[in-house]
Amino acid sequence: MPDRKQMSWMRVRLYAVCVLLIVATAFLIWRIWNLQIAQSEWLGSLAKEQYLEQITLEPMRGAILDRNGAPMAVSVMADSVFVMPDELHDPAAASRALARALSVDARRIERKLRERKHFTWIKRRILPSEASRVRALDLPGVHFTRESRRYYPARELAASLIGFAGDGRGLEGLELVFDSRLRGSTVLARGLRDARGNVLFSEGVAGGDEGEGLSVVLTVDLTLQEIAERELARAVSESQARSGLVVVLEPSSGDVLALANTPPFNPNVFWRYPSSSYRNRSVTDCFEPGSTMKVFTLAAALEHGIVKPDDVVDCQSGELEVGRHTIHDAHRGLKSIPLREVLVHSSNVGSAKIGMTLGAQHLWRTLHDFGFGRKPGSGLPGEARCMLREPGRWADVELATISFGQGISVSALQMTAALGAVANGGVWMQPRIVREIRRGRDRILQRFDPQPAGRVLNERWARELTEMMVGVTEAGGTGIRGAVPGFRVAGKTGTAQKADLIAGGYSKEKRVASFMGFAPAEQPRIVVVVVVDEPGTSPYGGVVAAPAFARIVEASLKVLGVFPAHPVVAGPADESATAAVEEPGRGEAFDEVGVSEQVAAPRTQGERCMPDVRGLSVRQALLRLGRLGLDVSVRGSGRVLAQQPAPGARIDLAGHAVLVLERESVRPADSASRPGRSEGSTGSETGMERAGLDREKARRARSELAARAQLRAEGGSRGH
Amino acid sequence: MEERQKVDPVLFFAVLSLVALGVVMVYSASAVFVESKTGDSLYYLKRQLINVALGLAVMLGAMRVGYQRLVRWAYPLLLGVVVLLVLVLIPGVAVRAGGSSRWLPLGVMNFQPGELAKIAFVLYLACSLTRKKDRIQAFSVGFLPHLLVCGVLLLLLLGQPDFGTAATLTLILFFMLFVAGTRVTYIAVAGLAALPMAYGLIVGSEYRMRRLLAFLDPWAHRFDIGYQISESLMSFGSGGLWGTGLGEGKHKLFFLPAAHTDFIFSQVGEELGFVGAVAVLALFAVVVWRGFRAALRSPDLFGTYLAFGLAALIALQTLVNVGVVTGVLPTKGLTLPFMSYGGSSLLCTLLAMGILMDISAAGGEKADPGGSKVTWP
Repeated sequence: MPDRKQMSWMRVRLYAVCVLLIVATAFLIWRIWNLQIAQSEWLGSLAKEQYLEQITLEPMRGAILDRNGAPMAVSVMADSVFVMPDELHDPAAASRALARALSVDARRIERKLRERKHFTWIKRRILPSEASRVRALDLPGVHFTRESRRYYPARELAASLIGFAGDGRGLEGLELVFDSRLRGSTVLARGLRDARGNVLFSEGVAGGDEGEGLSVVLTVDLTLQEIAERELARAVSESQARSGLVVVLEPSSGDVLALANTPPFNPNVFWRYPSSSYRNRSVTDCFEPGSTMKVFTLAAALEHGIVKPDDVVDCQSGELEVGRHTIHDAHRGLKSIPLREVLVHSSNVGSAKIGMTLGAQHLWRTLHDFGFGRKPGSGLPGEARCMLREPGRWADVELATISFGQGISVSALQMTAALGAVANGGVWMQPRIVREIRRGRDRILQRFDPQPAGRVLNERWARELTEMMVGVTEAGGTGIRGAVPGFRVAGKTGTAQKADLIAGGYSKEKRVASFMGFAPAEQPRIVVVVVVDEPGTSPYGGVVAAPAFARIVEASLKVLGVFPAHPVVAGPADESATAAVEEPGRGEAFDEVGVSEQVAAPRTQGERCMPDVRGLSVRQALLRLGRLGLDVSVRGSGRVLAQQPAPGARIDLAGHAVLVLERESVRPADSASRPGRSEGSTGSETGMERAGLDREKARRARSELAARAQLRAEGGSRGH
Repeated sequence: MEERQKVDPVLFFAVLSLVALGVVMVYSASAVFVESKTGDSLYYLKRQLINVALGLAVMLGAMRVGYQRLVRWAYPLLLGVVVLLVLVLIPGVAVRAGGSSRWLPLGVMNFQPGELAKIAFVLYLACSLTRKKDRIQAFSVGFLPHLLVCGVLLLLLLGQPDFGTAATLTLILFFMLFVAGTRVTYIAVAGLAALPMAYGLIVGSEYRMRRLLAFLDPWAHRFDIGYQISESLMSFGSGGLWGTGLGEGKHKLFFLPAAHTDFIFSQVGEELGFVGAVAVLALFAVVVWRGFRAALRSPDLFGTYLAFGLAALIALQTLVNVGVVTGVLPTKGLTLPFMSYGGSSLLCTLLAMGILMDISAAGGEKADPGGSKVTWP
């Protein structure tokens, strides 16, 4: 037992220690109060700043779709490869391996690896196959990140119409015109971040398609576009022409269904082509139309009451003197012919006389009403006005020549729209190229309705004119090769001399051969203009352009589900029939997608065609296939990417169909080893397309950040 | 010892509460981080639960040994600790982590001799001071030997380096010498002499210098050396009055290194708020208060010194740790008793609590019926 005195002293000392401890504790509590209460706001905001990372999501550029929703331009996430050279063990070997995998120059890579220490791009936006090759190398220091890349699944189809985008902005064509809509806005997503930069939970990233670029739905039908391009290419090569143009238009709405130019270019690799091939020449280029113009001269004469269809025109044996000039017919010896046969014989003299009777003022009025000398207003970039001078400035001979299509220039689109007015019973429709602006794939933001610009021709005269044009494609007409078996086709040939810009006057050899027309004559569904520039074989539109016209019309009508009213009597070899078989499903009513109002294609008994369900949602696809009684199995999720049987294939009752969707389930074996990398990566060549349709924002954020996290994690692990 | 002892219930439940809360906070602080590392979010929880089980067993065992018997163990234990501290310095024997070698591999777990050194040192001081009670005021008897022993331990600890434990031992030495009645002038002079030494140590070592700079202005060094302390302060700031709620803290998401060990108190601050932090401090105060009470009620001087030393050990470590995480003391690498993750720390702390409860029980027997003059107000 300690003695009392010592004990009490000790107690005093112990109290002193206690006081010290209490003071210290009080100080600490004051300090904690200060941190937690007084400075809470400031410290808390600092902390928030730190763990709530602002993730800037580059917007996914909107898609450009055809009228049926088929993708023409889509954005896909592609891998970009970069190297951190200081992580590499053997730069020489690595650059050789990378060069092989990415088909680039090994020496260039090696130079990059030696020059830069911490970061260098090797190749950006590579193909999935390249990416998987690089991944298989498993090199240290080689990393991936995801960047969006524009992809044109239809390749050359409608390339000059679509144009292209590079580095996230539109550079040509509709990509340029609708750039602001397509581009979308940068989204700031807030993610909860840990110190390694991993996003653990995301706040509001999954919120739909916010910020995403809008989709532009065109009036173009990809199938018709393909037909047009195929036939144009054939016509151009068969006639050894310099180039050619085709415009296909729906007369009732003014919808441009196809717009083709040669030579084509592939927008996926646009930099390999001269910039001249980017031009959408159906819209931007003018040519002297020649005889096709006679249709509008007649229209003007009928509309102004100068002539009646039953009038007789004296063609003066094919020679007419106007001032110091003499106008000739291509075929001499025409005497007096009924007005309705002027087109059939394509008489220059007859047209000139009608035009001169009509007068410059009236002719100009009608031509102007039909859209010549004006921009068509389709919304396409670089629309040409072309040349239609004020009537006051027309020389005497000009009135005569304009009447048969020389001394005036037009664009193919103007021509098509003008003929569309005839086909449409006299009402000129403004050509329309964009149908809708959508958010995502389904939500329509803005709809462009058909724009009737008013009646330019009495309906009766339109009918009369149509009948006259039907004569052109019938026996004895100049455009007999434009006939389509089973249909009455209204047509008109055109053969124009080209102005010789060097020698002055008109060139002897250089011609523009064209054919325009529409079908079926009774209820026109399509208007087609085919222009062949500088054909080498024959200068005549009736020879060079008319067959292409006929094939386009025939195939297109089948696609549109328009079938001959008159049974075809053992017609000529039916080449274009194959084209129709490719996509017969288009004939059906696409009511769910609201894409087409066309009549259902008649089904032959017991044997039907597989519809094209690509691009549809699973639900829509299943609905449609279910109606056909098909047993369907589905792989993956999202939209339909591929289908089996192919569109147009014959299917039996109770047949089986397989749909492959955008996001096919990834095999676990692929992803198990490297969670950071396998996320969002695609293993196969078709991955490009699959990813192309991937529109899920959260997923993008995740894969983006997974790539980043991977980076940091790898960077960090080196330190230990 | 055969008859049942009366355990101080207040002390016992305060200790249990702290341990239990510690387990919860360790889990909350480590789950996300350890899952990313091992895939098992329960990894640290499981290990800490084993530590707790072992620790409680040690505590209950220590309660039954009888503290008087420890007199015999004081010197051998001190010697053993010195040997272990030497072993720790031998490369290849020790486990290095975070730039220092403080751990001895012990099969399933690593053992940190520094933790045991604290108890051994307190035991040694209690023993020595009791023996020398009459000559305590003599410099060469009451002061110098203890200072020398402490110096040896300090040298070994600084070799690791373990500045935190070294500082704790120094403070314990001064506290116990003070309470035992050493001349205050000796302590004051020694303290004044220690300051330039500490300064020399800090300036002489880059990492301690950096820590001091970080301490002086954490925000200026927020992204490098002041990172940990800035993060800790932000943890507190995010907590507010009531805290973000258990498991809701954000700083453990890798922002705050050692969130489940040395900086567990900033997790308390963030998730349980000011109220929770003060409550935890109150629990510690209860432990220390009951420890001092046991010291004053102890039937013998050895028990008094030992109880005081052990309670002061808890108090000092708590104050220093809380001082560090709230940014009023430079970072040292010192655990928060009872709560921080770590086997050695928890085992040694609970061992100390076992001894303390034994002393308390012994004092209770004598004090209650006899009416001792030494009573706690």
